[in-house]
Amino acid sequence: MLLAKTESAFEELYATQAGGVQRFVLGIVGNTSVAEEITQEAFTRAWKGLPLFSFQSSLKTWVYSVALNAARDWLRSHRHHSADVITLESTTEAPLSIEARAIREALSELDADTRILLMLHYYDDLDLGQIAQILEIPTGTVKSRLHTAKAKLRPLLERKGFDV
Amino acid sequence: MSEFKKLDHFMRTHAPLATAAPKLRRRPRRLLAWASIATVCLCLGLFQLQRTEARNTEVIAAMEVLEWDLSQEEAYSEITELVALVD
Repeated sequence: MLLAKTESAFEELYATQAGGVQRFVLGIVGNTSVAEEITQEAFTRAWKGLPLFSFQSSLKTWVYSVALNAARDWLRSHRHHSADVITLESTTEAPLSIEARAIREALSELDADTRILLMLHYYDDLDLGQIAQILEIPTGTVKSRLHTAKAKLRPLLERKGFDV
Repeated sequence: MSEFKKLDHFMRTHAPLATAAPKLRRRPRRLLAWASIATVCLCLGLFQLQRTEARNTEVIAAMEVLEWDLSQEEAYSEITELVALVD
């Protein structure tokens, strides 16, 4: 019964978070199939590590942390793949708006750490505290890095003709 | 952060469209199935081990009560026979 409940909770976690996690990982590695593999790996690790979850953070934050570590492990073992300056692939057949394409291109031009931060902030709609938990840095640092990240992003979008 | 108000608005309006949430393969379902099977097998194994252990302890205790003075080999042989009888 307990096993069934845990499984059901994990399935729900997967159903609600997998899309966001995969998009987040895609922002780090820049390749859809690799992001998919890493997401699966992250959820496998999360499943195995479920008994270690201390409930000091939300499940969502915890899964993102696991995914981030899995993505970093992949980057470490594939050093020839540069994490910086990637081409963010589209994961949908639907045509993107001009603005969406510009954002994607601008993010692709940023370094991995900046891109991760902006994606957590804008795409996953996480607050500063949650981002701090995922990146394991103080909230104040998140705030200052976010400020710097936005300062890097703005000229890239302005260069594409957007008044931001 | 107010100096980035326009940027925030622009990003929040258009960023979610930049990459849609991808479709995922259903492999975790398979993973969960294997994890369940492995857990059930482990539980059965542990249960069986515990049962055997308890039965052996009972047999040894009975032998002690009866004050059987046997060598280790003989005791082992007796236990095996008794266990076979119990089974």
